[in-house]
Amino acid sequence: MEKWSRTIFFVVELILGIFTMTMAVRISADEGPQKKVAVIVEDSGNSKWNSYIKGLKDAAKANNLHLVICNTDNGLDLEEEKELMEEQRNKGVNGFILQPAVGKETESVLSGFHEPILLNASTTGRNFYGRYALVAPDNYRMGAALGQCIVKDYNGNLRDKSIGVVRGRKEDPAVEQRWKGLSDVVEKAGGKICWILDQRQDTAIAEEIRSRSTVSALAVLETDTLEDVADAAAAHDVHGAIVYGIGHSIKSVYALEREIIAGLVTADLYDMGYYSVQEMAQKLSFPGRELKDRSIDVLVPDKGELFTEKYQKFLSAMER
Amino acid sequence: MIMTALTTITIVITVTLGLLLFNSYSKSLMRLTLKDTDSLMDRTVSNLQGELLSMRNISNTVNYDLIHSLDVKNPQLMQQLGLLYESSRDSVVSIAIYSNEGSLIMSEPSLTQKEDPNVTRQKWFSDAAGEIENMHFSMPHIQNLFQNASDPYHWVISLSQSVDLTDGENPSTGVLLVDMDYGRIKEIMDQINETGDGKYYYLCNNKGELIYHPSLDQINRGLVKENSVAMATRVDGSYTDALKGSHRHNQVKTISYTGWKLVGVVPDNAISSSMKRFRYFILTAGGLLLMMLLGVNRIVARRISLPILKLNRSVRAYEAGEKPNIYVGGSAEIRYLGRSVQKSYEEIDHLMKQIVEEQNQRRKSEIAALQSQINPHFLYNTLDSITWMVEGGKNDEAVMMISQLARLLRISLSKGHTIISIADEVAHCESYMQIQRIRYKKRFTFQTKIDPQILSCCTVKLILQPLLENAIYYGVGDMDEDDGGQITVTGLMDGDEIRLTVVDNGNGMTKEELDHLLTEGEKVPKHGSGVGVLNVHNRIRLLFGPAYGITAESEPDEGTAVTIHLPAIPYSPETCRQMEQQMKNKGNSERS
Repeated sequence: MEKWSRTIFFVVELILGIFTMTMAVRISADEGPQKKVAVIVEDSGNSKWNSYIKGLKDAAKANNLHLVICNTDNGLDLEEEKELMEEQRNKGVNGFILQPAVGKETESVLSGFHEPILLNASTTGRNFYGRYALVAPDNYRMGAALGQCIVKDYNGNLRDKSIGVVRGRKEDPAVEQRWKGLSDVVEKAGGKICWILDQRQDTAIAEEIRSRSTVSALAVLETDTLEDVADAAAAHDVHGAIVYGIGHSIKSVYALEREIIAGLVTADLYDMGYYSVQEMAQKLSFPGRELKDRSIDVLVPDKGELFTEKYQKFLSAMER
Repeated sequence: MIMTALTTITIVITVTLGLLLFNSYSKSLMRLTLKDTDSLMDRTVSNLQGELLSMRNISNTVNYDLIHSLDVKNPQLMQQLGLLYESSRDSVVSIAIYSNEGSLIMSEPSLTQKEDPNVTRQKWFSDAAGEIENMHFSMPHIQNLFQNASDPYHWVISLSQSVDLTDGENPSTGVLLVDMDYGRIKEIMDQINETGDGKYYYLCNNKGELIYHPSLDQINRGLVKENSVAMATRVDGSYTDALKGSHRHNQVKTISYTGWKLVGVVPDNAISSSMKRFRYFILTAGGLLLMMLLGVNRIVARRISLPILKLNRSVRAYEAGEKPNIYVGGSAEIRYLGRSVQKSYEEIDHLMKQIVEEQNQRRKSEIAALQSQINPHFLYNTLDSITWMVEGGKNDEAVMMISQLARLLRISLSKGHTIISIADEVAHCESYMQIQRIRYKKRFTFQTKIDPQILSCCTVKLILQPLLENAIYYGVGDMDEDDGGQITVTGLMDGDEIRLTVVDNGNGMTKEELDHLLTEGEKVPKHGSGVGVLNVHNRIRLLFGPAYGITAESEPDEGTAVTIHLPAIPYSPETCRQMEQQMKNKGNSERS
């Protein structure tokens, strides 16, 4: 009887001891650090990322994540991106949201990291695409929408119309896909793409355009390039061509409002940032869950609509 | 039992205290949070009202001090407007005067107006033109008036009012517009939303349209919802609501001049982090307290209940006839109790032994006294009579008396046996009476009428002789020969019982004397010891039990009959030995 009583007493004390220790550990465990997510996009200080970064931050706050937005310059290469990722990994980040740097070794570099990786731009290889989730606008659709703008302004008939294309950086797969979308629509409408221009860092875009033949319309496929072409158009330095472009900056929108460009295709990058972090947060909370692709809506604002409630909200996110 | 009771009480007290503490803490924390929110909102309302009042003052200054007194074409108006703008450019984006047709009359700063801003269709213009007596604060919007490449989409809150313009000789009406930098409002609101503890503040107009919300972009995209429409209709105060299953406390305060509502939202989960930590703290403290109290309970229980249990067990064992050592242990009080019980039992044992010993001694002494009473007393009288006979020359009678005495002594001794046959007892009493008759000069007669079948039965020896002695002393001894004194001993069998009766026709006894005959009360001895009858009675009861003994009947001057009741037990040496052994055993068991 006495032995039983003693055994029960010690068992109860042991259970209480384990319970108390667990609770004590939980007091401090509850104050544990937030999960960290590193974001690496090219030229992170560029105003074109304003709404994107706003989306990232809002989602990080809503999901209690610590966001590290890495400082990068224009022309981020694969080696720099790798170094940044390693540096962040050493600092204990739990996941990466990337605009993957273009290069042949991109796949092997990314496969060297075991943290979850979510991409904000598609990459080159077919096999590579699909291994990582992609939250981005559909670049083919954006290119096609730009083509539709041109076709619409010419009443659906581009016969006898010459079109020049300014692609930005040649090797960017996103631009490549936009180009495909654009060319499919233009050719279908009977238009002729006279030349394709890949912007070089060391040459002013106006000079490049002036060196080419005169065209009826210019289609610009990248934000930075569009801003440069808009500046040239404002200076009447594009041989009178009507400019259309894909861009995500305030400057692009302002160019549309001032009718420097005739058509603009954009995407709500706030959504891209927001959904990227939200997806990553879910992955970090439930490691067994797979990251999922998400396509961001493509917007084609009309000049007359810019001050409507819909586009004021869109512009609101673009302001830092 | 004590351990269980203490444990139950401990658990109940610990859990109750924990719950009370937790409940009290959570209520206090929520009260404090709401108080902080209220206090912060008061300061914010004051700041916002200050900003709005400042805008109203600018607008009124332009209207009453400049436009009312100066012609629109007067360069001083432009100059004064410029000075006013410069003094308030931190919060004012632009000041502009429009004609009723929407044409720009003047503006500060002097920027190029956009080609077709559609001024008359802008809400601030239509509000001012529609209700000319009021000042109108618009919702935040992108200023769509001037070209500004460096900051093309500036967010402003427009304060507009209808004004009377003087243009030369032509008075007209127009609209005065003061565009306030929305960043000023945003800055104030951002500051109070920096806490990141779950609570937040937003600003809406009286229709519930959001002016500022920390999650405005998410709300615009339908990612988050807000109950602003419901709160916009409420007067200042505290309200609760539920949003996406989250229970929230809303503090509503109205901003003067605009009807805007500043709403502070404190979701229950705003304090959940603190409460969660406090819950773990309570559970940890409760666990520790429970562990310690259980330990203390066990120590207390071991020091009180266990020694008492052991003491109880040893006492019960003692009562069950075992001879364990009484437990002495535990606390000082219980040790003292154990020692007291032990001492009591030892004392009881000692007293029991003493009582038994005393009773045995008493019994022995009584028996010995009884027997010794007979012999010396009787021997003295007999020898006295023999002496008297020899002196009187009555040698034959002396010889007969000596021979009777010898037979009497032989039966008295009976080789040390206590049990003899009734025949011997009768012979003994006949010898005795022969001797006594000679001593009393045959003043009485004696006869025996004994049923022969009882002669071979057992009896305690020397039980008739004391009765005969009494019959002589108190009955017929004092009678003359002529009085016909007579003593008769009868013996008969009545069922299983033998009755030996000594009857005399002597003086008899009063009822009082008869009542005292078999009690140990006062004796009224006239001759002899005076305890002979009682001794006989006790000896019979001692051997054969309380159903047997002596009964007596007497009438004063008529005589006395004393009857001995005995069980009919056939006499044999073996029976004699067994009965004597039984007496011995009985004496031993009483002793133990």
